[in-house]
Amino acid sequence: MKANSVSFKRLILISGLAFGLFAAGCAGSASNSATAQNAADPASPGFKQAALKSADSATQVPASKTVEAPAPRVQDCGIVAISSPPKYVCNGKVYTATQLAKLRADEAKKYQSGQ
Amino acid sequence: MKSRARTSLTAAVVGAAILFSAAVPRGYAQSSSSGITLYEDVKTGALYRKPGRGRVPVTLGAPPAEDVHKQVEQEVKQHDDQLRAEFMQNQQELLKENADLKKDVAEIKPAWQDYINSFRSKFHVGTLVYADWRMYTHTSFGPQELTQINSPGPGNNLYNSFDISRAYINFLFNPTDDWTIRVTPNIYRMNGTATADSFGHSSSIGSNLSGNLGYRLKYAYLQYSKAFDRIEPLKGDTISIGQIANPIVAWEEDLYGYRFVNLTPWNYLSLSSTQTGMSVQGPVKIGEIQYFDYDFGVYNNSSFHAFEQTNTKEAMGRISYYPFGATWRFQGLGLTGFYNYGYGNTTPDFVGTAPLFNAPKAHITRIAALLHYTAEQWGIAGEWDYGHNAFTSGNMFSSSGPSATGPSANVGSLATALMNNGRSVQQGWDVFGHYHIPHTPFTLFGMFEWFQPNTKVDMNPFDFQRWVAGISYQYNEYLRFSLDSQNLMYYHSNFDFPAAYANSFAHEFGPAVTSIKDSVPRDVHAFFLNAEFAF
Repeated sequence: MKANSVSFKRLILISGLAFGLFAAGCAGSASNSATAQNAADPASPGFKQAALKSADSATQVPASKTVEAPAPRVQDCGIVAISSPPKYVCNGKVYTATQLAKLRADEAKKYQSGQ
Repeated sequence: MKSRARTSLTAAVVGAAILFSAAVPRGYAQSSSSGITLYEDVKTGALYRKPGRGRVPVTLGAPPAEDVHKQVEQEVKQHDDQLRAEFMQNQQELLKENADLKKDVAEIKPAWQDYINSFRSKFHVGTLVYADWRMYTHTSFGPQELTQINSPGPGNNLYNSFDISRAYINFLFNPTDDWTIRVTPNIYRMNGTATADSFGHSSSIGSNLSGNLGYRLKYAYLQYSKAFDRIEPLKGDTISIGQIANPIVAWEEDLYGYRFVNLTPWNYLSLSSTQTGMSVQGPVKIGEIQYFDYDFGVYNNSSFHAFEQTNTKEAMGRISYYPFGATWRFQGLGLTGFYNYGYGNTTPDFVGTAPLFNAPKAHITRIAALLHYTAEQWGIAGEWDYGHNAFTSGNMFSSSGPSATGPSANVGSLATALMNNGRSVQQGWDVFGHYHIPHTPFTLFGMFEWFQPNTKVDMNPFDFQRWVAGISYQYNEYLRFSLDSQNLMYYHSNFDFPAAYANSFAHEFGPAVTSIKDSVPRDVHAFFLNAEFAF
């Protein structure tokens, strides 16, 4: 009789544990499916929450920076005319020597100021 | 009667009182510095010496000091007030004048600034300087590598020199947006042995002309840029008049890009970069794409640094065609043709003498045909040259030539016979180009020229090849350097030229000369370090 009572208690304990595990699993899967379902449904709060999350994600990732092309260097340009002032062609555009010198000086100032 | 008597009596009493005032002790009519004080009966008007009932003091003579003081004070105050008022009025006027002056100055300043700004945008000063150090491992006779430099003949190996071969000062003025005036002086080397100037009876001063670098006018012209604005493809093309660039030399110098190192083909041979005359030039564009570039003009037969003597003129023209279009001046594939026809610079009444006779007034023709391809980082061009009477012994030996009395005198006479006879035909071809080494300030460049001064000569000892090879360093937008090798090679093996054959071109040799020994000059080899500053 004693052995039977122990077995019965063990059975109850095991059953209880099993039920608890089952319930936890069901709750988890239920919440997941609810979130998935809500995310899919634009009207659901879950969707808005998901949307907000993704929006938050978007703001957290920096947008790609616009990279300025470096100023053309006279060493990489072709000669158009040795005149006053001399003229060079760089990347298809014609510059005077004075314009190229100014672009170079402005770029150097920018780097020095840390921009 | 009674009143008259009374008045008389009163006057007498007053007079007596006055007389007594000095002697009578004070106590009655008081006399002081402020006057005599009497007392008047207010009812009767009588004057008494003593005060009494119904009598008021009357001061005769000077008023009392206090009264005077008060009066002076009043007058001074009045005067002060007047002065103050005048001062304030003057101040007001001064303030107004200052305000007006400030306003005038304020109006002047912008006008002055405006003048300076507009002047600054209309006027430009620039410079172009070529300098070099050159060293000859082998010297000989030949043309100048660059203008204004010379080298000695054979036997002067390791000759070296620092030179300035160009020093333009470019003045450009645009009074309006359609007119440009350019004035450019440039240096030139004075060579000549003028005799000494006598200075007094027994002394003289030596000439200082030879060797000096002087300044002469290189360019001076007026240019108009709106003559063709109604024709869209020709918009911006120009008409120039004065001492101007000719159609080929300056254009080709920009195409080559290394004029500071060596001369371009026809410039090396005989054609100056400047002519005096008028021309029209410019690109022909459809939209922004250039398909043609042209330059046509009429000029003096003389060079820009000589008197014009002829009654004819010479014509020059160049046209460049870009079959695939060019987005900038030389871009892509181009075909260029140049033609020049003129005459020797002699007066209409010129009568020649033996042995050349009328050769100096013969016609002159120059032709060049180029095929070129230019990109931003490299360029290559091939050229064929043809001429009539376009290369003389003076051109052949522009750097140095045989002296009339030296061991090579006959070589000089041979050159005269073969080149200056008025019937010579020239032919040559050239290749030149450059390549920019990527991501560096260095560019490789070179030129090869082969030339026959007179194709009618079976074996012309003066046929030559010239080649230049070097590397340039672009320091900044205005300054370049180069290290290069320059070589002139008379490629025939040395031989004795028959005098009789030479005389068939021009009778330069007498019967005593049967052949011209060692007729082929030695080669020239040199290294140059060149610098260009362009602003």
